[in-house]
Amino acid sequence: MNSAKPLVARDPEVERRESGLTINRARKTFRSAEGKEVHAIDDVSIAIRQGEFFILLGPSGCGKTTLLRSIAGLESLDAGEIYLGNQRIDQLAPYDRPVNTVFQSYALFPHLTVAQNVAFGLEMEHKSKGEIKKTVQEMLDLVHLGEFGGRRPNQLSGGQQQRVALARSLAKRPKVLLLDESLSALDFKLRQQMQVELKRIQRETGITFIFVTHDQEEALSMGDHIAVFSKGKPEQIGTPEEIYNEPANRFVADFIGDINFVDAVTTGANEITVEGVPFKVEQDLSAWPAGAAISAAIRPERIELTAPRDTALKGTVETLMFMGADVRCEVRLTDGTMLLVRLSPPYDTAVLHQGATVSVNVESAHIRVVER
Amino acid sequence: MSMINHDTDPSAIRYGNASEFGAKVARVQAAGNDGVRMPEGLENKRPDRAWSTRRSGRQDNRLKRFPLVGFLSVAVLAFLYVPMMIVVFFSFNGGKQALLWQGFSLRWYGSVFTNGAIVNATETSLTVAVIATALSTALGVLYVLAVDHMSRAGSALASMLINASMLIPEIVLGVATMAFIRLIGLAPGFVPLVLAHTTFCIPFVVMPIRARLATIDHACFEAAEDLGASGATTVMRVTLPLLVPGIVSGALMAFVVSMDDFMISNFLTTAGTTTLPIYIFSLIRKGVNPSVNVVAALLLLLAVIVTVTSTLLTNRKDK
Amino acid sequence: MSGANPNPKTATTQPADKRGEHGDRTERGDRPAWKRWFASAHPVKPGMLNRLWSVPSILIGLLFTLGPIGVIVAFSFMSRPDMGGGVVFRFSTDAYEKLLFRHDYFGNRSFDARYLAVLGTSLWQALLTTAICVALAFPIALWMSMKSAKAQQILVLLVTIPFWTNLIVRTYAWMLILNENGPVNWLLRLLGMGSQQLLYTSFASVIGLIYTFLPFAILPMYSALSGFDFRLVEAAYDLGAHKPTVMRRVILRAAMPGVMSGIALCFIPAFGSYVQPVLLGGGRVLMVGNLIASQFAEARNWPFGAALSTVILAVTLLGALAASIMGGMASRKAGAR
Repeated sequence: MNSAKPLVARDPEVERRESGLTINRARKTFRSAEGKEVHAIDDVSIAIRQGEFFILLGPSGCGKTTLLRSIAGLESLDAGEIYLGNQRIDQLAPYDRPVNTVFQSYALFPHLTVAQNVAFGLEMEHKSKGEIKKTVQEMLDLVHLGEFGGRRPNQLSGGQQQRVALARSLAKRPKVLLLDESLSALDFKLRQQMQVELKRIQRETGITFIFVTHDQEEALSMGDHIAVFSKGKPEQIGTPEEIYNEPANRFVADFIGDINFVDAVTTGANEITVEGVPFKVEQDLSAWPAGAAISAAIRPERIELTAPRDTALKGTVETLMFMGADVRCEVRLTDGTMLLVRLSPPYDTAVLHQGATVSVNVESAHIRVVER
Repeated sequence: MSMINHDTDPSAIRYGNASEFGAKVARVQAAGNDGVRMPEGLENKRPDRAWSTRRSGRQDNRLKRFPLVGFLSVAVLAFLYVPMMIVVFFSFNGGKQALLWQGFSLRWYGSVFTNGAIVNATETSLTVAVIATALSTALGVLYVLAVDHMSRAGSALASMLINASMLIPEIVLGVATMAFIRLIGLAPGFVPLVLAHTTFCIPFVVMPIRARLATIDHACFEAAEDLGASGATTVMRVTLPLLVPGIVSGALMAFVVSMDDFMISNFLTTAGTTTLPIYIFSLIRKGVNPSVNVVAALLLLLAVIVTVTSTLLTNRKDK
Repeated sequence: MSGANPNPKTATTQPADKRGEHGDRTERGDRPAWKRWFASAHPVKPGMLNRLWSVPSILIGLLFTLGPIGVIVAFSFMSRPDMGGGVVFRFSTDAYEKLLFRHDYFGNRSFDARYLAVLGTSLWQALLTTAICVALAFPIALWMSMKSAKAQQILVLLVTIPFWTNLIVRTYAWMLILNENGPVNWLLRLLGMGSQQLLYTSFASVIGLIYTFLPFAILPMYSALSGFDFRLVEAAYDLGAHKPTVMRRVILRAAMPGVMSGIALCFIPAFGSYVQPVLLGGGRVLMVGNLIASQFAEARNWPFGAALSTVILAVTLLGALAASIMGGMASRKAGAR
């Protein structure tokens, strides 16, 4: 209903995503204990599509939680706007936004029962008692806690509390659900179960989920799109495949999964040289000057080890570990770089054994050039 | 007890076998930024609690026994209680004198409850205490909620003002309040008495409420606002209900402190506003008195009730 | 498509309108200075109240503590009227002079040690009380802190009950006990020593003071020790320390903040005590408490009483300051920070 014109020109790419959550040039600065200025959110613009599972990923202190809280209204921005569709929400109080949060500590009200917790948001909307009761039961059934309405939060396990927190936030049918590292307190198996549950619920309800995590595995498995954050800025925004296979820079490459960084030099628009051995790459290298010192980022599973050939890059096998599903191999190149290689068994023990010299080869599509 | 050998770098340890543990460790080491995973199968247990905070070994560890400590401690406890027990004992004295035991009797209890002066003094004390408790509790709650997010300078100043009455010797505060009353033109009487009581009760109210507030997860308040509760609604529906044990505890303490006060009330009373402690003081200045035995026993009972209730409230596990 | 941040466009950035629900979010310095000083950097935290709600309690605190103190200090510099009580608003330092000097009939001034002696007696009694209370409190605090959690709760309860029992009543108990016909004398008579005059002596007064303030010493020390990790003691033994060393260097150091609190909580009220010296000490020995009280009653020398009060106040505030500084240092040494 609020169709105020935006005060700042929006990026056309950003402008295209009309109906989802849009963050435009957001900025927030804190003063640290020593008096230094910390840019918690540093000129961030993100567009999130309606109905998608969006992930804010990054190490601790990178600003992802601050951004999430800004969307919820629990922090205020120093500059920039947040739009939900066409409605500008960053000036609204948290209780006026159609956005709900699942907190890391769950934040269930200890003095209320489970059912009363879930009903809280509905009571704030002044819904009728009958309607509230019905919705509460629906929500508890949705998270498979249908029989738990009369219990108190301190009688529940961590996983159950988490589901109550989820039900409580979903009860209000928000346009966007924010989850702040909600799974980090759960044990491994439970966590995996909850990941599946969350995806299912998100699909069923069609609500946009924005999920903050520092666990890159979790992000890759759950996200439709991921924004990898570092020091208050998103380093890359893309699908899990894009993030994994085409990291935009060294930080993203290093943060996601295992990666090898090999010193190399650019020798053309599509070629690099590693220790004198040329490698073709599919990436467009015209942004780099010729002869620039760069790093070749290569995933361990993309490295091929063969019997040594003269013209290929050579290395020595230092360790071989049988891990069950795959084999982990460490190969040292002549310049001293240690490569981590993952191979699927079976492999030829004649070629690959401790101390053997091997040739290292990577397909052009799997070499990613990043700064050194 | 195994000590971590700091010479060994955990990440350099190789688990080269086909063990699941080895694979896990390798994955964790490679991932680097993740922590350790908790053991599986904790789904249906009690809520996740911190690791045991048991801070020492078995209770009767011989190393912890220092000579005489136990003996002294029991002696001190006895020292604290025996005098009061003697008073209670003599309150049931059947004789006419305070100290000459002449059989068990409740006559003095009966006498006290019909003693006009004592009853009046008690009524006055109760009235002042109830009003002062109500006022100080209300003001104390408002104070704690308002001061929680003040700047450091502001809250230090406020703290000092609130706790000032605890730093000043009572005799000084008593005469000073009397002088102050005179100066601003109020005659000594009920109103200044209540106001003075309220003032020194506030710190006693503030302490348990503050302590209780610190145990509450502040994310609950954010959750309430997130779910649609405005500022006032959050305070009414979430903050205050969660603070109730602290508030009740504080109110109880304020009540007792007000009932107990002698020094300050002494300088503010007039003929019509004698409180119980003042009356008793005047009685016993002349010597021991059997009625006072009874009043003492009753006041002891009050202290017991208040302390036990307060302890039960603050130690309740379900919050 | 993967991409890094979109390049900043040439559009100028203006700070968003920050009217907001929460009021003072602006960074501009256009709020009145007193508001800026008194306020924090954030709006009202969820679940809390606006800081203005603290005003009523601060106001009453100002009025009935700082106000009276200010008045009493002011009064100490005023003159007494020719008749009756109260003060005359004429500046004079007579009251302070009276503390130290006396004037004889001829107008000669000589040093008068009487009031200093009174202060000295009170100081001595307070220090004695504090020392004994702290000495007795330490073993029991230590003993309590080493018990099981349940036992600790009960013990704290037991120590707290006397804390909340009426002061007059607790003093009266000793009047009963030390009375000529009381239990102690009964015992003494039984032992053939005849009854002694125990009541209305300084001894009785000090006993009363100790009895009153013992819980004040126990609770903070217990509080400090209950947070103490006894594995440190085990570690000390493991490293070869003997019991006295452990006690001195490990436990005492950890308990020191509590000891400082206990000292402050005992000394300050003991110094200005009135009830115990009057009821148990018989009121014949002049102590600070009844001296001040009498100035406002029979003696009708308000400025002098005010001067005495100011001196007491100064001493206790200095003591509290010293205790808090040393307590802070002790906390840091004990590793609390």
